[in-house]
Amino acid sequence: MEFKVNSKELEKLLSKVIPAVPTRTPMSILENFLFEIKDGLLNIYATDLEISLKSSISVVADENESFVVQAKLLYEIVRSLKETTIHFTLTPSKKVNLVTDFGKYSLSYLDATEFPNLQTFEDDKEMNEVTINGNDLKNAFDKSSFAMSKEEMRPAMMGTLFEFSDNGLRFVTTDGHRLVNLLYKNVKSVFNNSYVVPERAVSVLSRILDEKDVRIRMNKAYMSFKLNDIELITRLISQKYPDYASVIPLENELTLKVNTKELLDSIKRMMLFSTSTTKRVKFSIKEKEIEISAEDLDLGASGEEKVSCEFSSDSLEIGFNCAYVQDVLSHLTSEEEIIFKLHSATKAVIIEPVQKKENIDIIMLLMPVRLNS
Amino acid sequence: MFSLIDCNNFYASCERVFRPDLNGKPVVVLSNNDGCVIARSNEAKALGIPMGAPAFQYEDVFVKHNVHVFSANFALYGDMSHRVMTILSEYSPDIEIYSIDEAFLNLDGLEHLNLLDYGNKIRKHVFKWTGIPISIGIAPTKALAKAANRIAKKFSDKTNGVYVLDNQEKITKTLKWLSVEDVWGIGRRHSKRLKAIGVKTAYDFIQLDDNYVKRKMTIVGLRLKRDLQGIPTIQMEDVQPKKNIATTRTFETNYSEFEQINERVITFAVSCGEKLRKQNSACNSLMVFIHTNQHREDLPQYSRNIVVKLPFPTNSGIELAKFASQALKQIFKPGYFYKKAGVIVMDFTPADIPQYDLFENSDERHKPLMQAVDKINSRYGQHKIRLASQDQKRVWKMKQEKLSPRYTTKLSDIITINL
Repeated sequence: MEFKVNSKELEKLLSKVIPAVPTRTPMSILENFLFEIKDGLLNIYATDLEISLKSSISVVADENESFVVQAKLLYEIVRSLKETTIHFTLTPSKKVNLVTDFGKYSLSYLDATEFPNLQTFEDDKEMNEVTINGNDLKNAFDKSSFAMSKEEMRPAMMGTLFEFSDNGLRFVTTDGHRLVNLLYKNVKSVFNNSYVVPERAVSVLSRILDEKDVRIRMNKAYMSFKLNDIELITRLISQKYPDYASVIPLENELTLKVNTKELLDSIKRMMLFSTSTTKRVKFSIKEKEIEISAEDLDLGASGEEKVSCEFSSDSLEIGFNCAYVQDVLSHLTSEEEIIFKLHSATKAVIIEPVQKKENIDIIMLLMPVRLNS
Repeated sequence: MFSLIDCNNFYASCERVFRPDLNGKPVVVLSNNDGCVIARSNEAKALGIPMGAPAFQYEDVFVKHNVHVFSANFALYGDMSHRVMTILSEYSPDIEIYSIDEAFLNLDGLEHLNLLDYGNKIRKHVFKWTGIPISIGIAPTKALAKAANRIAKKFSDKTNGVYVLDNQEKITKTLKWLSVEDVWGIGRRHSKRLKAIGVKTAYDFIQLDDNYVKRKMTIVGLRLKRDLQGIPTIQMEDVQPKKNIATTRTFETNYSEFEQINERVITFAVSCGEKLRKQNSACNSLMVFIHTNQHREDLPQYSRNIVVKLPFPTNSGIELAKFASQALKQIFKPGYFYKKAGVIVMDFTPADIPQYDLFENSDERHKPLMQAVDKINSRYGQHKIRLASQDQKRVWKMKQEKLSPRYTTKLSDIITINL
């Protein structure tokens, strides 16, 4: 069996699939690519059992064949080649030979049956399907992925919630301390359903998304993201997502308007003075200004700054973890001004842009930390 | 100069304070559940009863030699220890309480005094006020003070319980006398290895090349070598809050029912909560473990542990009990006879600065409730107030058949003297 392929085209293909190859795994078979030549098409697969990636190009081959080959070694050699034609030959002694104009390389291969079975999505009219622009999807991940939890106690929170409805496509992430809720109103679906996509799928997608449209298909256990020449299929987290809607407060009537960059810069400085274990900063909010203060008792250091604001009430004192405030603000830097909607020192705070966008709603929640009584 | 003060046969001495009739007679103290010998008076040592001897194997020896056996009475020992340490702290502003019966005193700035007299004064003071005999070693470094203490105790007839290493001649003599396995900080593994290369005494040890010591025993070993050479390297340590807290017990009998073990695990969790509150911490993770009796090879064996990350930091006994019980459910398997279980709490944050959670929070009402529980239990005795899921049916009780009265911590146990 033999086939030919351009080295630069193959490199491009491999680079799209390699993110699914796990860096550390007890199952060494996952450190390989699955090559599948079928009816003039070369499909390359990689998986870590949670996500799988597939990409394809046309090749001229004399027959259909599948085999498994070491991912890292193949990728490194192809990547380092100048543009040339690589001539692949499979030998009966389980070697795959790569021959170019100036060199010959030989790698061992395994039978395709050794590779785990991969979930596939056949074209099916009954299946739920949505199309979204790649940049929009990337933007949603960029704005929300920081709030996904890393704690295994609540597995659902280790992913991003996708909620499809005729209101639009909603993304929710939370670790219990902060929450991001982002709605694309123009990505409407005829079905109402929600799914939890694991963090690994989100981070790999963020790397490969571009301006092209993405076709999202799903069943109960898997979700497929089809970009131009690449498909990512991820397992879904089966645990129920917490009821995010019930924790978004309705009674937060105090509003605090503030310049995003000024507040963020101040928080970064105050972080230097907060105790490293608690990272607590105190906001003493008055009508026209916020006094932000932090104290590190271990170092005997403290700092305070004033940031001008518009507050709808007389005064309020509230404590936050400054790393969390920084996370929220640094994902809203495209907004010149933001509004904090507050209730009291122990209740969730809503943070949202002053300027509403036509097609996107975004709100973030932040839980305070207790100030010493 | 540093001094190491060590209470002689501490637990046995505590028992004797209130039972002067036992002076000169063999006394042993047993571990929790009356399992093993954990303290021996000199007379008991002379009978050849080893440290850690299982009590049931030495039953005959105890009877034959009229050995007075006590169950561990930690309320008494803890209180006596506190009294001793309070007196010691009068003799130096810098005290490191090293264990229940040992403390280092930093004597820097007191070199103008006759340190032998100073040591004798401390010794008399402690004995007169508490009845506890102590040994004192004084030397230029902590490791040498530990060695001096050994001499003070071993040759108490000559030293009268106080020994000062105040010149190089004495130091060298001590190091040549001290076996390498008796050096503070050299464990069984290292001493075996050192002996294999001909290092038999502390003196041999300090002749070793620095690089060799560092390679084989890391920087910790090198620091110890410097300390033994008389260069103060190991410094006084402040008391650090504990990084994790464990409550574990070996059961008196085997348990096979979930309910029985659940009751124990809940009690352990409640006890961890108490200890957390004492140091003003809250924990973010909790581990529960159970295992069968490994010495009973005829029975099926099973052991498992599970670590759960809590949704919020807590030190409430009620919440810890709930999480521990849930965790136990996940690892418990019927059909086995369990011998030991435990709860370990870890990953601490300060108790008073919680990050509120959107979905689940530690119940704020538990804070005053736990404070009240702690107060009641400290005034009226351990477990006077407890969860309904704890111990109600009295399935379990620590075996303490030979428990002495709590002379110093319980009003009704105070001795009456007739004049």
